[in-house]
Amino acid sequence: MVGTPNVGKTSLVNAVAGSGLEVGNWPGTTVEVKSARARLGCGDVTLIDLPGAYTLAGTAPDEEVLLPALTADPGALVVNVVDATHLSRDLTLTLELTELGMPMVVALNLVDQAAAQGRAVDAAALERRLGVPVVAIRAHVGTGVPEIVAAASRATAPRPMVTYPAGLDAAVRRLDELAPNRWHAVAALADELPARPAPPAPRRRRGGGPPAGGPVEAPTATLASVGASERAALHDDRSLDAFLAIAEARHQAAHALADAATRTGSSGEDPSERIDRILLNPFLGPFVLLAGLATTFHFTFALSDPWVGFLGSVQEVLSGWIATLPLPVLVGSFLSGAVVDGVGTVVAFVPVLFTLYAILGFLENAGVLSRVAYLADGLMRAIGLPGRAVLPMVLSLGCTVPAIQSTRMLDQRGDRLRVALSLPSIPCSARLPVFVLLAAAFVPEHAGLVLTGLYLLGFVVAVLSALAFKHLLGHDSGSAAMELPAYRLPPFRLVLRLAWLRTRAFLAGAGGPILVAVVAVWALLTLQLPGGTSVFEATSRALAPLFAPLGFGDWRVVGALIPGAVAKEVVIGSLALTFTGGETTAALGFASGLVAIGQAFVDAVQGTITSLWGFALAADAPDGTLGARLSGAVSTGGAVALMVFTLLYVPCVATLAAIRKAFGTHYALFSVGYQLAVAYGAAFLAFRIFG
Amino acid sequence: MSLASDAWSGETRRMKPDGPTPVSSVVPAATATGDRCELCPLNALGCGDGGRVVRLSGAPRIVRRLLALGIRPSTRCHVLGRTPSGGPLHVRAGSVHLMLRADEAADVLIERDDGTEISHVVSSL
Repeated sequence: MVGTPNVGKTSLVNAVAGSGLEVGNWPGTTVEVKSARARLGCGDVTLIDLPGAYTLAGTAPDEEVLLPALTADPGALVVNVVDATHLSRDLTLTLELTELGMPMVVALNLVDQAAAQGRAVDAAALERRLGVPVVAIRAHVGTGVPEIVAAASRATAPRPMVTYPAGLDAAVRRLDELAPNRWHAVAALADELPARPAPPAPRRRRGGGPPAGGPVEAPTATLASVGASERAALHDDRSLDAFLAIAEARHQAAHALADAATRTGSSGEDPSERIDRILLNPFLGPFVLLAGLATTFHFTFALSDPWVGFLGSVQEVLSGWIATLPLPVLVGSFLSGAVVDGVGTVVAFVPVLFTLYAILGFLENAGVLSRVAYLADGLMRAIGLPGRAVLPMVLSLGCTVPAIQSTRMLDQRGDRLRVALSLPSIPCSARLPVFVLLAAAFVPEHAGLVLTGLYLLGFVVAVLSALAFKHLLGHDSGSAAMELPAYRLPPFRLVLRLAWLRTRAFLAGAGGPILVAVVAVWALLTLQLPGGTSVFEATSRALAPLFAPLGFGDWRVVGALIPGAVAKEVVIGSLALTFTGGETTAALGFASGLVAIGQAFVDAVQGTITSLWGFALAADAPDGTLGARLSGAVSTGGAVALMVFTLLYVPCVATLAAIRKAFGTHYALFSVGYQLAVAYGAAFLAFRIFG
Repeated sequence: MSLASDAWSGETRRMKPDGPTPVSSVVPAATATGDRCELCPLNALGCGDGGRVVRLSGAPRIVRRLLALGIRPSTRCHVLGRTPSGGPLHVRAGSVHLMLRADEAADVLIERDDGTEISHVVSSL
């Protein structure tokens, strides 16, 4: 499945395959490739939904995977999804695809919308001109799917459709003899050959049967150098810019095709333009979108919070059951302290992430997120980033991990890196409960003010970091231009399914590191030194003097920050453990455990329903005893410093895993060092100011 | 206006054997004859104004991106919205809605709708 962004590829895969959609990453990148296996009339097929791109020669990571993915399996059928409302532009990609010489089918989506805009697109006319099957579909409702399956069986390799002018054509023909296909010949002439050699085929190819032949050979250096000399010759002899001339010929051909297949009638006003007049109004728009964003995060917390609580209750019951088992103390402690807590920590991400992915998936597919980027472009320009870079920052308020993954939409590596490395400063939802508890304990009368201040501080530090990295890592910003897709109501089931797929992909990627870290912390807490103190206490006491200048040199506070590196919300649990000695897990009977789980489930459902109506975020009432003991150990200034430190210090394990996957181990380590330094400095200043 | 030094100017003319009336073939002649400047950067347009793209000039990376997004010679462009203080423009190019920064829009040279009179004269020559 190939097509421009937002064209409905995923909807189509979803409609063909029903359930069973999978999200995998292309090897070596964080680019999301969705695939599905389906049993169709012609047998079992693997559907691969490639990232959207306007050209095969794109340079963003999600565009770069396109060509190797297509050519990895010459036996594959290309399904080119084309947006009938942007026919002329989308057909340029179609024409590029015909030059690959692979069998293909064109799926013409949104014909009904084009008709509503006064352009009747005739699939049959397009098919006659293109020479490949063209099927009108409605991807979001799934009509046209049987026709595509039928068309797939009569799909043949198309003949190249673009006629290049004489001089150019001769050069393309000469290069064609060196190149695996015409597209590569043209790309060599236009200086658009992929810079990197093709990465290996995706891992998720099992069950698809062996490819019909070997992969197309990677374009050789010879092709590139011959292309360069042909390009120079064209420039000298005919003063012709090969790239522009090729682009022009393709656009002409696409335009002619679109013209031949379209009958233009009268059209009403585009409803998207009406919405944009309000939403993109420079004065009104920011307020509307900020209100929308606040609502989004309110619902992210409000809808997921009851379920986080439910999972916590299940965790307690499981620990209670373990306490009843006749096990050696160490084994029992390992089971409840490492296994149950570890899995619990991982699973606790599910409600938050699922809700966030669902809401953001909805906004993204509805065309709203790109409007946010439009409105934030001025701010982003000030720090040398394209407007789209604001989306990872917004996502980061929910969870840093998907935010780092979303940087892949930026086409310059420098931009991606700068954004990703500044994201850990933005407070994610896991840090909120820590702030709520500390603010309620130390500055109860100004808690709201302190919370707002912390969020502002996080954003300011992130923006300043991005600015600092601009000088540190060099500046190679790409184009900020982007499409503002038409507003659409995305299919609800698709949004939920994608949210679940992305949550699952997160668990698969980050679950391991989190588990390992939880087990390590458990070992630290449990293992005893010869003197009778735990390794944890010894480490914390050793580190404590370092934090005295920040106003919280108490070893119990410092100790609580160590497990916080796993996930920031663990800080509260650790504080409770070190200050109140931890709750001893009461042994729990099987029946009473089940009752407790059932009760927690009912509470969660009730909580979800009430949270849909109420707008007040019901923060958990902080533990009174813990708060009292904390305020005895740390001064108010120290508490502010502690909150600032918690806001900014080491990214959590899952975030580090995501940075490592996208940019390599050294940048993950750099992030740890950078955040520690920034946190220490900022906390020191906070203690000086408020202490 | 230094059209001759630009990679776009000569070749787009030669590249249009058929297809819709290539506006670009007209313009260099028009600028040579008329003293009015019909070629106008897109960012100089006010809200609601439009015209036809004649050519793109600028860094190759930006030109490639704009072409891919659908800002192509002979495409009709309209400025639908602008943000104050040099912020981005909301542009409709053909049927596609785009956000362009002012400096990117400056790379898009268009023939304004109110310049059609001149181009009619020239194309009949």
